[in-house]
Amino acid sequence: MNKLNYGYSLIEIILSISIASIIIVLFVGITFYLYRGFGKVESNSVKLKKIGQFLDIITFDSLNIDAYPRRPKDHYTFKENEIVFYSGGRRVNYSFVEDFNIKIESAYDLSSDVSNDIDKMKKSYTFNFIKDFYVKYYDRDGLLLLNEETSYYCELYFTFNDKTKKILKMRL
Amino acid sequence: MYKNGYSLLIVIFIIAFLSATLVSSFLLITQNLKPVNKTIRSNSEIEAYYSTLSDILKYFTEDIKDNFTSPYNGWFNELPEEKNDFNIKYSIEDIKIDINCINLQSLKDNKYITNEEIKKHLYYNEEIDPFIKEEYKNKYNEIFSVYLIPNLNLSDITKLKNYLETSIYDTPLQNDILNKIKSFRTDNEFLTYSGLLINEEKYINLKTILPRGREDELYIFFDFKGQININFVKEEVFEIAIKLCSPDKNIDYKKYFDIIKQKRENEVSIRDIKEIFGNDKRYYEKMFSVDSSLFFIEIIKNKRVLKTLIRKYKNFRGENKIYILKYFFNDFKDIEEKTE
Repeated sequence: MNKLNYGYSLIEIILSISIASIIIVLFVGITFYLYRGFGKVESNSVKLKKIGQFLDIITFDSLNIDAYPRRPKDHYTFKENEIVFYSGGRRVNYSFVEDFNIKIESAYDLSSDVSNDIDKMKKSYTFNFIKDFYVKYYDRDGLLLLNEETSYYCELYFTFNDKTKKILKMRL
Repeated sequence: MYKNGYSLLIVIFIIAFLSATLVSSFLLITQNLKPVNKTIRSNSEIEAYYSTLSDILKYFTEDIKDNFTSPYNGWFNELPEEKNDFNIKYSIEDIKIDINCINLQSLKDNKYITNEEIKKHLYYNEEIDPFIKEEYKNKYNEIFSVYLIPNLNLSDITKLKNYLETSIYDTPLQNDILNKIKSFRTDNEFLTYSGLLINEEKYINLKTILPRGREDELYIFFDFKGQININFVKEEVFEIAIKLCSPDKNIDYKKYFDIIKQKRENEVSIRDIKEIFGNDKRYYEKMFSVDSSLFFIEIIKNKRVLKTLIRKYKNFRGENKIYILKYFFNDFKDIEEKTE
């Protein structure tokens, strides 16, 4: 009489199906776990990318300040949450707006390589990972200025959502 | 045997799946982290540029008395062309005409500038371009500059007012400085005046107006003697400069420039402008000098450049000092494209 199960015993079949089920469950589990992991990794890496862009912008702006010749004093705005200055020949505005956003009108153009082309329009960016932003102004002797006096340099304080801080000293 | 075959296939399939997952995950992360790495690398590089700059600046403050060893005429030793794996380039800026403060309308034969008067203060050399006649657009950068320190004996008073407005001084102080300069500038023909209307004594007197403790700014932001270094001046600049100061507007500038050319051919440095102008020196000492005090330093590596405009001066105690007027940090190719 021919064997219907082609030589596999019942126990073997049950064991095989069980192992196959475990493998499938593991397979699906790992896939799901990795999928979720990917999502996190992707969002974190996108956030890091944006932070990188943000750092690029503020670094470029602060390293190309139009310190000489300088614009007349009334072209600048020196406020606690807003600063207007000139970099790479263009007007730059950093301001802290509602909902923990920093709006940057920069001399730096992320869409192309860094350029100091004075004819290029300024670019506007909004970054929502900044929890707080304020500026401190100093005179030439390093004394903190409390009113609209002529500033020699300033310190830009950027506080990120995770409470880490980036402080940038910038000559004006 | 069949059973073993199936197990192997399953294992291979799982390994392949996991590998593909890990590789795609790795690619995704590296793709997004690439700009971040670039930023981090760039930030650490920036520190190296600045530390190299401070090493280079030491060469500018060394006091080499009466030792004309440098191609820039004395004042400092030979400058290094390489430092900390960076290539270093130097250029002199005070061999050009100050387009912001000198009124070129007084030139009888105004070859370079269009008839449109330049009323506004210019902040970048590139901004000069619209005011240059078409045939000289390719060389204006070698003739004019917006970065020069205004010479109080040459500057137009209206333009000087514009310059003071760009300073870090408050308006009352700007007015005090301007009024003091006006009080010294008694002769309307200041450009062709024989000698210096504002001499060293009057120039130093200006420091009494400046904020206490910041008197050195007089040496940084104002000048009264000739600035154009005659050892390096180009013929086009020399022609403009001499015609601005000469009482004879039809002066044959070539007569003087031939002497300069001859000295250059013989590799002899000019140590006194009297060697060129003789007794006519009194007309030209407000325009020409034999030293330089305004330099661009370029620190270059991997097609990135930190370009710095520096002013070299001696303070009231006679010490050599450096003041950094401006920084440019950019890709080298961008700057090359702009200057070509």
